[in-house]
Amino acid sequence: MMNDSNDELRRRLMNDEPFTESRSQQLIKEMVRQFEVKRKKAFLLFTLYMIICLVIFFQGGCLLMSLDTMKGMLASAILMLIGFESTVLIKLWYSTVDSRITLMKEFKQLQLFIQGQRASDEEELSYPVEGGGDVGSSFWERISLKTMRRVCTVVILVVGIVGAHVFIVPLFKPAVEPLSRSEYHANVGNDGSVRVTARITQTYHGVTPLAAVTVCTGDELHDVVWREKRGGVLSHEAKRGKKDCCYRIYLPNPIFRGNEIDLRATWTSNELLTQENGTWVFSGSGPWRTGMSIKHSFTCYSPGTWIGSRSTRSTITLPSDAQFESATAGLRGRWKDDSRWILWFEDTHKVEENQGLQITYTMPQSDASQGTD
Amino acid sequence: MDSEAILDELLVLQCQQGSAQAFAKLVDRWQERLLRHACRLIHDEDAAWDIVQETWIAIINGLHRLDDVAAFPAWAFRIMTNKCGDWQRKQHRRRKVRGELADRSTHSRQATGATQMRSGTLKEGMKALSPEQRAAVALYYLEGFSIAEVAEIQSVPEGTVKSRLHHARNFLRRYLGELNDE
Repeated sequence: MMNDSNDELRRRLMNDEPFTESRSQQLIKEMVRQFEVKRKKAFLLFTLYMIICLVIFFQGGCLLMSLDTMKGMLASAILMLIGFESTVLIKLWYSTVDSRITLMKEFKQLQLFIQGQRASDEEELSYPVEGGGDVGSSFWERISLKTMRRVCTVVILVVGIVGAHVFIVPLFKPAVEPLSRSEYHANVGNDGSVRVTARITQTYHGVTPLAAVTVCTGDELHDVVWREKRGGVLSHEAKRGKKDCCYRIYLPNPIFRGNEIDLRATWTSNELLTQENGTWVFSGSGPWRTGMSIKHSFTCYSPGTWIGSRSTRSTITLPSDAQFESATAGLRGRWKDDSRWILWFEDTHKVEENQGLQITYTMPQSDASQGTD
Repeated sequence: MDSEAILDELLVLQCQQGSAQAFAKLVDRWQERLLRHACRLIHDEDAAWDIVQETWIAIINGLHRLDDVAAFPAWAFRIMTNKCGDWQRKQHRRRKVRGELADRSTHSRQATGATQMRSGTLKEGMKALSPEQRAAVALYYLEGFSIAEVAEIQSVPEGTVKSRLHHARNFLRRYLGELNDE
């Protein structure tokens, strides 16, 4: 009864008059134009967002390279992460939404197909179901979507490669400029041992803070002194490394880019002196000038791997009563102090030349025999 | 689910992926229904065209946020109903400013409708209903929405929709009865 009444009401209300066709077409055209405008705006907004993210990323990277405080570097790293992750996230978000819609579309097409099968009257469907893909999208629309995806992928790849080149590769390059000052003092004992005191003073240029260094002395380390910029001695912890005569020096506070490294290490070596026919020869290559290296996890630099030139000042104190005979080039001067010859070498040269120095001296007969015994 | 509804959902999904062709098809399929609904609510064809245009612009702006594509019809009609409400309120204010506005409460409107129904058609009887009742009747009887969907479109509880339909039905039944009597 109620349904009859409803149907009658529905039937009577249904007889609407048609609307003007031309106006309808105009409206469709106008709406499609509005849709295109909206789509272009969305594309521009997306591109702008991408550019902003890239700018943030590179700005963060530049700040990271220039700042030397822990807070500043952390903030820069966060900025970089935000910039990079945003580009990745927007791409992920886009592809997630796109995949969801594509999946739902396929599902709906399947539903339509099943409906068509059931009705066994596929002609009734005014919309093409078979064929899949972007039904309803023009070839150029589909091309532009694909192009957009490819462009996004390429942009992310380029950002990754450039970012890696700009920010990661320098980590593996020498992190210091040529030595501003390096001094080596060798005290040659009567028993054939040499006590070496090496001091390296230089400005640190690494990207990451330096928290620990490895000192390879070539022999047993006696003492390490690490001084801060103002001259105070920094506390540190020295642990013997895996390799023989290599020690890991840990600092409580890391050294930042631009700060001074002032390291003094003392060790004793038995390999610098040789005796030939009563003449003692001091060979200053090998462990003498390259045996001390400073390295940390990212950057390894030692006097032996230097790029550029360096200035080195060395003094060798001969045993008491030793008679100096000859020295290789680079000897700037010599003097006696308490019956001991002190030889002063100073040279500036390319690192790869690895100029060694050699000193020959003789000892009084009694001392020499003691030495050989 | 009928194939027309699935087709609509498919078109909405393609629009969300940026297909202008699918959007043109969607507008083509839905604009007449929207337009008729607007005409029923505001009884002004020119204004109805404008409202339909505004409705489509709102749809363009919000289509990407529509998660449930099956809800597209109800969503579009809700936008349309809200736009019509806005238009009616605007007209109401204008008339008030011009001093032309007579006191037209729901009761007096129905009373007036009752006096006119002898000589009028059912469409005129619809006009005599309150805008809310008219919208409920149009959505339920003509657009084929369920009570729950009408409630969602009108942003009211289902009970309110049922009550509106009940009063409108009684009024129109009386109207139809009286027409038949004549």
